[in-house]
Amino acid sequence: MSDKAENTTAAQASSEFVISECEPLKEYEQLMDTNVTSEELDDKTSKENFKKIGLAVHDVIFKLVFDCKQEARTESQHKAGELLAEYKSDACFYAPWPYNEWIVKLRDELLKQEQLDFWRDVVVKKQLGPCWARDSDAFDSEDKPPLEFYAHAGCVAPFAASLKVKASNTDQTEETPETDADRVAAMTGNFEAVITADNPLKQYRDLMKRFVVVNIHVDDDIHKASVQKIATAVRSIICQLLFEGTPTQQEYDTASELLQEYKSDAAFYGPWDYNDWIVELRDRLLERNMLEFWSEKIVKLELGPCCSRDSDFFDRDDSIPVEFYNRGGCTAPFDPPVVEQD
Amino acid sequence: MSGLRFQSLLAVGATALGAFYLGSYTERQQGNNNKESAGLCRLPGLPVFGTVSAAALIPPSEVNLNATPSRISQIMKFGFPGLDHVRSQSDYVLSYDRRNRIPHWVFEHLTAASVAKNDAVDRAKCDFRPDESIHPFFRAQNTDYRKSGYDRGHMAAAGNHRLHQKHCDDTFLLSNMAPQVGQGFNRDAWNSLEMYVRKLTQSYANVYVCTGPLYLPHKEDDGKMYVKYEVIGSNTVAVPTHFYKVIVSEAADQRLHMESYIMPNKVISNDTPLQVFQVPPESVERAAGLLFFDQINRKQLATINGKKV
Repeated sequence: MSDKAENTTAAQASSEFVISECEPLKEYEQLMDTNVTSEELDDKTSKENFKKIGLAVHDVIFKLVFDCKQEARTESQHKAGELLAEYKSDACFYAPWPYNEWIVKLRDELLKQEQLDFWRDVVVKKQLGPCWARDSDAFDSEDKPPLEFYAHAGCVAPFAASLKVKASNTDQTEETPETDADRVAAMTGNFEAVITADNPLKQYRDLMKRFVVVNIHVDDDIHKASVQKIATAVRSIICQLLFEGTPTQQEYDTASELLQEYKSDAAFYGPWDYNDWIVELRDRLLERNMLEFWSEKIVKLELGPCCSRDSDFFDRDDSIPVEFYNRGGCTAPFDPPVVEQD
Repeated sequence: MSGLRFQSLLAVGATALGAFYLGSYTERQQGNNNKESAGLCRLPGLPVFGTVSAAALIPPSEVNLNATPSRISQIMKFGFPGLDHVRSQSDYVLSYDRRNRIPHWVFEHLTAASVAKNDAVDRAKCDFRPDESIHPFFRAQNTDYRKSGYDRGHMAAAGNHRLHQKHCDDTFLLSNMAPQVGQGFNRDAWNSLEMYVRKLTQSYANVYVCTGPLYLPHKEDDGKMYVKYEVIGSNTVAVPTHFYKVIVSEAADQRLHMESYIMPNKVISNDTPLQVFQVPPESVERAAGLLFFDQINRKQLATINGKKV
């Protein structure tokens, strides 16, 4: 098309991009500034350059993670994690597909070489798996979330819980519409929120489906009150399951499943009540020394207060509830956020 | 005598004709040398055809990779909403708003076949790219959208054009994009509306849909109305306040059903039913400054937004 000869920079002329192991993030950012994000470049050139820079990133990350000496491991893994996060955010915009292919290779190598700390603490925790609708505009809600990618070495995708509620929403649209009586109840908020210890999850879902996730326009105040009503019922049944008599393993599991589902709904409809109540629940658990439920369910499944990790009520300016988890010898199942310095 | 006169007439005529052709030839040559060094070639905008006839169905086996006149007239069967900078892509038609660097409208014609999952079409091969056919002054670029907080939101959705790889590729031109709120809108609620439109092809033989941006006024504290919208990037790409879709579905019995939607360009909760966004088609027309499907008499529609006319 047009004559690009005059705006080739020295960097473009040398098609070799290399990133060394001493300050990889800095070098990467410099390469990006000159060869990709600069407004002088035309689109084709910057995309080709991004591809080449990507190859350099792949190389240096593999070196940092797999070829470093034992004593320097922590530092070099930290460098690799930083670089990977930055590289992924650019890949989401410029070229998600090659990233998605490569990150699978990196994962497989991590698992093969049993670099599980890097896998768990960096790739899973920071959600550095394949780009998808959460982080890239090349995708939408019809694309499959990369759940499977994370399901290795005892990990689950950090966003698994929030997808559950979405799924129940979409199931609902495929079904026949609600009955007239339910529709009137949803419009007016006149219904009984009954949840018993006998299969509470199913009852909870059913209530949500009939009176909250409905295909009609419900006045906002009534809608809020309905959500509140069902939430109150869920909270009391969870307390009943956990604190009445000696709970069986079955009751523990039921309570935690319900709690997960309730949390992901709360993250969507309004997390404030949940965030207050979960602190109370935590304190009651610790009072009674129910450490197993605390560490295996609440901490591991990240059932603490909703935050920007799982709810669109929050963004990066909001603090992440790291401190909530520092009880009973546990720590948050994710890294404390890095305070950015401009 | 008369023979002589005839000869001289012939000579004069031939000279005149020769001079005319020589003149126009040199004119053309000069014109060619004056091409801008940037190498921009003028591309035809509006496809003008000798006749605009009602569309005949193209046999489904034939996949057209260029915007053929028959395909364009099929897509635009019910009239052009406006005529500003009309471009035809292989499977949709677009009117480009040079001032705002996004479309005025895009028009699509969907069938069950064109929206069906197709293994021969690979989304991973599609790439957001600037539209070289638009003058550089008015072109949106990837850099405008990067870190802007907005998605590159398709007006003609990629999922509507699955008959051929090229049809899908064409939807990734930045001339078909507008800045859309990502999570909660482009990738969710707006996507649901797109899916709903595709679903209509299961009940209707032909679905025609016009999609575009709106810049709606709102009242400020001084009691006056203002239109206010953000612009992003060095090319100042406009961020619309709302988007519309006006849809006409043609049933097997030839009856036409119209639906129209306006959605705000912001986070919309997942459980909001689409009906909430239905509006009378006239209100979209007034707001957009365009007339949709004006070849159809509204009284002849079977339903509008699900209600009998």
